[in-house]
Amino acid sequence: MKDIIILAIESSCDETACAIVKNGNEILANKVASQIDVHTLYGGVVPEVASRIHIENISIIIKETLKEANMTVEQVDGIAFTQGPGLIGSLHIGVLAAKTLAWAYNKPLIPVHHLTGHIYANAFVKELKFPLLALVVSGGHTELVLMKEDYDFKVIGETLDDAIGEAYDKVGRVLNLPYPGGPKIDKLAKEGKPIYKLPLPKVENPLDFSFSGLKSAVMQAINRLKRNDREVSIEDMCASFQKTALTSLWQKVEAALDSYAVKQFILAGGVAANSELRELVKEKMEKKYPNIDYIIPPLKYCTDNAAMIAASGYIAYKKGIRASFDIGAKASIDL
Amino acid sequence: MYTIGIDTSHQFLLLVLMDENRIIDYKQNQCPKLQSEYIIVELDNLLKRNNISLIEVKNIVVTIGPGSYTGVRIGLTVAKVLGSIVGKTVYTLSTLQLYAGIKNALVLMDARADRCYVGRYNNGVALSEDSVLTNDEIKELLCDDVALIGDLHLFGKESYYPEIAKNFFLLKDKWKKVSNIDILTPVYLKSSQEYLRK
Ligand SMILES: [Zn+2]
Repeated sequence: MKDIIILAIESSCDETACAIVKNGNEILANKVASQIDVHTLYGGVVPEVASRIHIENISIIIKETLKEANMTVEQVDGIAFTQGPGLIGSLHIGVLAAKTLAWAYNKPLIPVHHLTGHIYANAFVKELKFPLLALVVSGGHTELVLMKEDYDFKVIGETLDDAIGEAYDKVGRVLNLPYPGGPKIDKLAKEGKPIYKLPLPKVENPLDFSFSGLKSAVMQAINRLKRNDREVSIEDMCASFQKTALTSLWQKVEAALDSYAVKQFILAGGVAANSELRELVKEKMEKKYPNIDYIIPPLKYCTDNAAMIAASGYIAYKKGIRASFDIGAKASIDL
Repeated sequence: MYTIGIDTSHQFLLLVLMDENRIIDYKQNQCPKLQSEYIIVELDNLLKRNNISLIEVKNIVVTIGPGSYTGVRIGLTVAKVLGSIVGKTVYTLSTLQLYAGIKNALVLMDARADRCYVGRYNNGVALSEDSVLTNDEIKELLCDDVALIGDLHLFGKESYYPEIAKNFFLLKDKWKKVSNIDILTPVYLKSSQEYLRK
């Protein structure tokens, strides 16, 4: 069978990325220009600043990717790109670059939903088995996705307010930790104990999430301690927040695993890099669901990258999904 | 050999097809916010209806601002990919310079928040650097000696955007050749420092 090579571009948030992937799982080149240092300076991702950096990086990142793969655009079979969701100004740059390449080289143009990229990042580890349950956790998303087959996505649970990664960043700000809060909280939590009691978020649908209350709970706990002249241990607060957030997260996963017969469970998205979450998944899956296969993606595929967009784009390509040149970026878009 | 002029930095999607001696064809759409959707479609149409293939296009000349941030980035992204990856030679013009053409003109372009981008040009040459001024400051500058061009509705006059397609060609000897396309960035005239969290 002929190899299928996909070049992909991802620019939905604060990484300008390009990758070339063979047959959906063999990475020939994978380049990411991260803006994290700049956004740390700004205390978060500022959309206009992100867009400005994307246009600075876009052509050089494509050029370097081609160079690393030792290929020309003529040799690829399709151009995939993240259409959304994400920051509209950031998305524009990647979408336009992809459209320009597809037009100039007469290649099929393949639109990809960012979250499907996170899901298919797991294809770099091993073959996906269906039906499958994916927990997609990131700065913008907290979703349970059921897949009966390749490229069939059904959201069965989602956050009603903040995404889990957003909650980490907000709590990080409350605790005066530098942006991004997630990795810092994860690290500090290891040095603390979950001694502060924070209420588990309550929602009606057992598969839905809610994290906005947790930030207020952390603030209230801190104020209470201060009122009583007690010192606040940042490490213990991180440990308490993380434990509560992950306990709530896992409750929903179990509810989903108990109600749908799936063959595989996969973790996806930026928050999949959280060390405690990775341990939790491993422990719970092996103990409680030994018959369900599971994948925890390597750290390098958790954060935004274009290889995952190429992996998803490969399946989309085979399914005949194509975009015309009038396609636009979409800040919000359903799976 | 052909050249394509691209301006998306204000409310138009303007694509101009030229050769050494003349404008062959152009397309000017008023589609603020939709430039990103239509730019490739219109580029494709422009070349096809003139039976020209992209291979025969040697140069791209693009406006690099000041103007709408998103708008400027649209034309520039296309130009950067065509320059860096496809291998076209890229030239730039200031957006205000394009709007002035070869006239003796004061060009005003809405920069929001009661400010305008201001360009003072004569015969394609900048008489002062492009800048951003408050509309109150600009009122002091308005006089009858120069042609006023751009978003004049902000000053109680009728807005005026003269034949900018033609200007691409008229300013041919003012096109600035880009030596390293990968580091080309828009001219914003407003620093990203403004976005720092207060
Ligand atoms: Zn992501």
